[in-house]
Amino acid sequence: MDILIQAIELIFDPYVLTVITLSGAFGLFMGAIPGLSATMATALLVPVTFFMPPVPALASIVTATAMAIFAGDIPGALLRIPGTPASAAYTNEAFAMTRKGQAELVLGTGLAAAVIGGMFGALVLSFTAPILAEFALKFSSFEYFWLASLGLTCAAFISTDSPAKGLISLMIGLLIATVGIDGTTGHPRFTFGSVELLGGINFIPAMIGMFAMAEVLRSVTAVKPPPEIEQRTIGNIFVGLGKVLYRYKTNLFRGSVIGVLVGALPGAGSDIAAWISYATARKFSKQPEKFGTGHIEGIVDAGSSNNAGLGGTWVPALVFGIPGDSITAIVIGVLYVKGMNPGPTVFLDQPELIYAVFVSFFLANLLLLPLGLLAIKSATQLLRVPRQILMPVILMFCVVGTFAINNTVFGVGIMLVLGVIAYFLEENDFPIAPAILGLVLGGLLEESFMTSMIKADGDLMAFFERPVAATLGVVTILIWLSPQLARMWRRIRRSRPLVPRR
Amino acid sequence: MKVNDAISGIVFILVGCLVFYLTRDYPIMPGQKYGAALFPRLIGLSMGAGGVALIIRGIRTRKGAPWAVKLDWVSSPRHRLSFFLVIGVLIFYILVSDLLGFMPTAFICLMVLLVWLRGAAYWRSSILISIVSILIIQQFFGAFLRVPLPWGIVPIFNW
Repeated sequence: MDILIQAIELIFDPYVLTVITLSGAFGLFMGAIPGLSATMATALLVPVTFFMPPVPALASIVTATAMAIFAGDIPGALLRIPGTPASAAYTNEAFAMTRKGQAELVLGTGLAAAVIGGMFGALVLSFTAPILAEFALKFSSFEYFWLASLGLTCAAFISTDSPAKGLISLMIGLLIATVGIDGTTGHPRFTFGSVELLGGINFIPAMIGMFAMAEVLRSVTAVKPPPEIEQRTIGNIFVGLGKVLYRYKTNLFRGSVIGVLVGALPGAGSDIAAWISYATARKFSKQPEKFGTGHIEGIVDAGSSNNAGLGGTWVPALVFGIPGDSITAIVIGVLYVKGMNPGPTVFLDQPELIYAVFVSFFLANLLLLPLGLLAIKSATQLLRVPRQILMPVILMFCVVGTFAINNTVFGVGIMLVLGVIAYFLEENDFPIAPAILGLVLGGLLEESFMTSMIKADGDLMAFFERPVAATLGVVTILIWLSPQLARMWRRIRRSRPLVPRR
Repeated sequence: MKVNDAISGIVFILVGCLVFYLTRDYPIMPGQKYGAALFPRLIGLSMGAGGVALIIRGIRTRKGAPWAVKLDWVSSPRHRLSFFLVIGVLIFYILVSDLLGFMPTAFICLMVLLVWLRGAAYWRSSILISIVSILIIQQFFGAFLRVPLPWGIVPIFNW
């Protein structure tokens, strides 16, 4: 209880509250403008949080992402472009409702569902993380190696329809993480004689390059002009909202539960949670034929799911130091920069910091209501901000942000190179999130692997000797083999002679 | 350039081979059979395996499609220049910011981009936007967050 009071004191400090409010406004702006995602908002926040103490830094990321995920609904409903990938699952549905003249209802429902889902996610996070952390304290380097492998494997396999591309993207991230002095032998790797590369490639410029600069490139080369806004004035969003929420209360709960569970899965975040919830809503609906024609039901499910997922992704991130998606991958990087080694020991050493994160989750979702309302009201102005002005200014912000980390233009160079690489990878349908996860987790993965190898004196069987490690190991290897197993299964089924039905 | 998966596959197999070549003389740990090269080589190996999978997939799904197609913007001179301008501006910043200082360099970069993207007709507002943005960034990062942005030719001032 003392810890909780300490945590509340940490958050309800004028400086922290100001940071939270400003981050909230920033998140709404970034989420509402198509092409600027929640991940990009986080990437741009990091150089600023670099100069803050841990609590405001984390609270600012929590708030900005919660706002951005909701704000993604706004252009989805008004322009038929999802503001963030997390809104993509129901953009067509929301736009169909706007066409029917129900823009107020769809935006109001999206906001209410986001607040409720977000609160649910915060609740689950606050109660499960400390319990899991106690369990995780017993882990050794073997378990950590498998956990990191499992997290990275899921990231590579879930986030894309081509596991091979996810795998390669992941390997690019891991390879970048090996640059610099090797931890076990002290030998410089891939430095090509550069003194600056000896220290390794800092993840902040890398991430800004891959998420922000690549997006600037995509925007300036967009050939198609942006579409027109469907509806110019937004009326009262609360009309009829109560009825919808009451009627679909089970959907709210179901969406939130699915969101948290999918979010907690390593490698899957809010966007996948929204897709799964939308599909589930359709499957269990009494009126599945209405889906796609402008029906609110699926939006209740998916709208609560993506915000609940946010809380879910923080569970593995805080407890094991294994990120659930690219946003928490960035968070893990921030935690390392702040000297807090993510993992169960944080819960022992600095529990007040962890509880402050929980408190900021609740606060952010409460704040979402007034700020979200404001964003909806000013949607027309927000969506009219010209991209040709915004993108160059963002680019300058990226330059200063990367410079600020080590105070050299070397960071700007890293951003440039990785930004161009990420741009071409993405144009060829390679996912970028696994690369960032690989970059952040590469150090931990190699360290736990090498430590385990030394402990076991090179005996690979030692990786399976402890019960938890063995389970994690088997699951990971099964996922590695899953495309092959699925193919074999199909072949067996095809070759089996058809048995006539009686 | 959007290439067939088989071509990406070949590229990543080559990257994997390059990793093996670059790690050829990395030291091993005393008393063990492996060392600094082990982990990068495992990465290179996995990358190569992914590359092989991509080649198989690329050939299987090609069905007479070209091996490589240009991205939409490549055939539009305007967009092509936009792409290279963003990269050029960053290289320019890396090369001269220490010498000229943050504010003049960033002003040139921002103004060039704005004038090009918005059209020359709006040059007055583009210059104004550049000046205001750079002053805000300088104030926020330079003064508020105390990032030592280079002053270069500009006399140091405090607000």
